[in-house]
Amino acid sequence: MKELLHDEYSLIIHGPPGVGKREFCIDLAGYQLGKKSTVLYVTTERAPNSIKEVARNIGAVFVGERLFFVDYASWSTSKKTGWLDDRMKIICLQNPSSLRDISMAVKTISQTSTGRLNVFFDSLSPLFLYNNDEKVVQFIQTLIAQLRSEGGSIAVTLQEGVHPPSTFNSLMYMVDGYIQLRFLDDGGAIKRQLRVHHLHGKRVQPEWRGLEITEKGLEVL
Amino acid sequence: MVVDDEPGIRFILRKMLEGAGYKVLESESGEECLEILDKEKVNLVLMDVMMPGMNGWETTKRIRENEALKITKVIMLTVRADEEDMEKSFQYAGSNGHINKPIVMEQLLATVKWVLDNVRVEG
Repeated sequence: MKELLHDEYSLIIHGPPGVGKREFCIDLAGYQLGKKSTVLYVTTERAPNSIKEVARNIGAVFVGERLFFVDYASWSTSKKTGWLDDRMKIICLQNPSSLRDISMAVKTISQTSTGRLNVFFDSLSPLFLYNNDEKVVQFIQTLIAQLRSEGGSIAVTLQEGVHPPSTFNSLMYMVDGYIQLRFLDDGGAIKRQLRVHHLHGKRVQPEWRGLEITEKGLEVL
Repeated sequence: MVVDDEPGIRFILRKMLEGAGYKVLESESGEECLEILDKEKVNLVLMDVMMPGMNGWETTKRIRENEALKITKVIMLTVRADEEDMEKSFQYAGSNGHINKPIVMEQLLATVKWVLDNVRVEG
């Protein structure tokens, strides 16, 4: 499952809030860090420290010289912009409606880092609250094309139930792979499930499988 | 506020939300929902779509058109909505979220929290 994201690949991880998209995304990112790849984690709902805490909770190795953050979550509380913390390699953005700032941050990190860049966008959904849908879709399309041309990859999490189907379909159309997560009420016990809806260029069985998130990591049953 | 013409559904949703620490109002129709919103400050409405009288889409559209209610977010509750229904919830009515019935408590609470935390209203 961790091999889902490879060079020049784009992936959407879709499901309701709380189902485990962030953990799934961090797990994939941690795997890339373990392979000595460069990871840029764009966080829009939680501050970078909170992301690191989630990583610790699932046993993911989420440190290193090759890990960068774009913090799009702290704009309402932070007064600083730009390189907030050199040691932790965080670029903090202040304007939630400026998609250009995110593009610039990605470009900056792409130029300053060595090797191919793997971007993890967790999550894309808040961007739609401050920009019209068409603008965000175009932004992601451009970002995917840019990363692909440089041999990089991108994984994007998307909240279920907060976007019109037309917007979701536009995003689906432009990515290589689509992973779906859901809650299942199994006779009173709430379980998580995952299915690989499609992966361009790969044969997949789109059946629902159990997903367990523990302190040792994620397990697909 | 929970808006649904079925008292049983209102009861279950109220219990779920109160269990998570929310203060919950109830309304049995779109018309009554608008009357309550005139008097009470409500952060979030869970709105059933299919109701006698004014349906959930029309009620949500009225909420969105009322400048005084711009802080009020709306999540639509539907039974197996197709894409056309969901599109209508977001684009025509202007809802902030959508949940399909039957409702899974974890999903409901997480979606409510996400909308309350993330959908910020300027001004």
